[in-house]
Amino acid sequence: MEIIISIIILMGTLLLGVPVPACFGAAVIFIMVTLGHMPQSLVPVGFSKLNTLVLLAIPLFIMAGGIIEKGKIGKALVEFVEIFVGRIKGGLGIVAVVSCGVFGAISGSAAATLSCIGAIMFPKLIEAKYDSGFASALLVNAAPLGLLIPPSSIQILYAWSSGQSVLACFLATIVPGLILITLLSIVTFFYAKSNTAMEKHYVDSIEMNKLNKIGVSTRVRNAIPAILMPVIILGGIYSGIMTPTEAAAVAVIYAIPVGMFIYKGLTLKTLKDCFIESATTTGVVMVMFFIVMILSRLYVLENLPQKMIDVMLGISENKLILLILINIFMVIIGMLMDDVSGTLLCTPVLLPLVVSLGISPIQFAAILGVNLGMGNITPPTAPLLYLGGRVTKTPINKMLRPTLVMIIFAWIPTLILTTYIPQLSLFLPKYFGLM
Amino acid sequence: MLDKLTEFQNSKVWKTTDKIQSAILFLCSVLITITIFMTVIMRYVFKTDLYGVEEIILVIAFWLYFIGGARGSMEDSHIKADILDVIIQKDKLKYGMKSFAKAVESFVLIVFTKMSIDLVLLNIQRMPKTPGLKIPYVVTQFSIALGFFMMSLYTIYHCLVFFFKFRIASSEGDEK
Repeated sequence: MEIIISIIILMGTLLLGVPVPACFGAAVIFIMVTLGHMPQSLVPVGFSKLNTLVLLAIPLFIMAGGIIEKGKIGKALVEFVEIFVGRIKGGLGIVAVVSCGVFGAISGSAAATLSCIGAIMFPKLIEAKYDSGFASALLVNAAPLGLLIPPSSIQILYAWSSGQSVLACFLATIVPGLILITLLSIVTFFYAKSNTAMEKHYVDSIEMNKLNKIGVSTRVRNAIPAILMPVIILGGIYSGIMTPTEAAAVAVIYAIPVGMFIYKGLTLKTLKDCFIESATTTGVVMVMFFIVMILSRLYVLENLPQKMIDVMLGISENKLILLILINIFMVIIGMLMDDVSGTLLCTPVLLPLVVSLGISPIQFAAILGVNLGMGNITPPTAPLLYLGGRVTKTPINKMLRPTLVMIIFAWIPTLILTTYIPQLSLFLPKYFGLM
Repeated sequence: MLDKLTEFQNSKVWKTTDKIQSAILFLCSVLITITIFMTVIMRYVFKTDLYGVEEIILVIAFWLYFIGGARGSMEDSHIKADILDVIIQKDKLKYGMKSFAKAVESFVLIVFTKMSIDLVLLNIQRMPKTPGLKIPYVVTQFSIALGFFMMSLYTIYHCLVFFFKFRIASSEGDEK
């Protein structure tokens, strides 16, 4: 009973607008008082969980993302992606989607992806006669690719809190990320096909590009320093040369001269601000992690995961139905919380249940990633939707309908495929011998 | 009263605290990045390892985490579900709810401050140390206590600001 009340306290305080770490903290205090746990034993739990080098990859990736965002690397990336998909109908929209994926491979943050690519692509999309609501919604829907394409902060958190390989979790979300890119591109293609104003602009721009002959080699040359970054990060990790934390530090060191001397968007002042802002963001995440780890220990001590298994199996023993229920639960969590809090809450509570259903923890990494990515754009919380509205200065109500269309035709199919076809998320980890 | 509270953000105390926090965060970020980068260089270029460097990095990391958390409270940028902002339009209700949420947060942070101070006091007596460089754990754990203490102070401040905004909105509502 006390555990149920603690969950009600957690959800209730969350709905009241209490910051997430304090919501978890309120639940901790309630359990501590009512079930007689010793306060002296709780802070050391959080301390020991945070006292690891693996988690340092998160602040370093946040720093690297911040430097890249301020370093004006995004423009070179967008021009590079245009080479491949710029001529397809609705090509500019597809460039926006693919650029979000490529930027995600560098920054690992959905918010950084949206701020950087959104600011570059939105004016271009409007110029190409895209409706502002659709253009803004497209960028918002593509931004969570920053969470699915590795490196991803939430996958590091998941891997650490579930005891899985960071590498395997990184690889598990790649195929779902590619599926999402494809489906969002298809939605854009059909939107472009039905829009006659865009059709005329599309023909004109192809003719203009032919005349201008914007050099492919110039675009490739400009993009190489930016493209090298994911190569260094992912290559370093997958080849075993560096740990994810070391790769993140190398990424920061690499991004500084690239942003400062090649793309010339970074100054000493912005670099200093970037370090301080990233450290503040890191602090916000880590304090939450500290308190959640204490709460999850209390839940484990009170046998909550087993109780969850019993409750769910009491509803149905059918794996397909249970997976639907788990997904609904995670979507609701994603709608209420941000991705980091959602990962920290769902992992200890749901992982034993999904493992008991015969689902690999690595596949669950992908399911969790897609769910929480979708939660980020689904109202009422939808932090990316609101950020998108601010970046593009588009009213939220104009973005809601196209967002709903993209959730139905891109996100939900991606979620269904990731949930019910394990091979999609397990193929790459198996191929690289991580399972 | 609200004016005095708002003015406090321009005071010397507030600005100096912010500068100290920012300096710690900048220094910690630079030290962590360079130290980890150096371990990679030492391993592949000089074929050697920096003994016990992980223990130093983790001490710095804790200071980064908890001073960062304190700065997050100063900016009031801790993650929250801003559902009420969207649903509630009336200032009176909005500020009332916000001051209540901040009061809950203050209470939780004060309890965590107490628990972390107790841990520091306990470990000052026992003085457990890291296995390699024998760094006392209390050096790291002090950052947790200080971080929660600062977070509590900032949250109480924001709670008061919202409370006085609520009172102003209430009196304006009564006048109407």
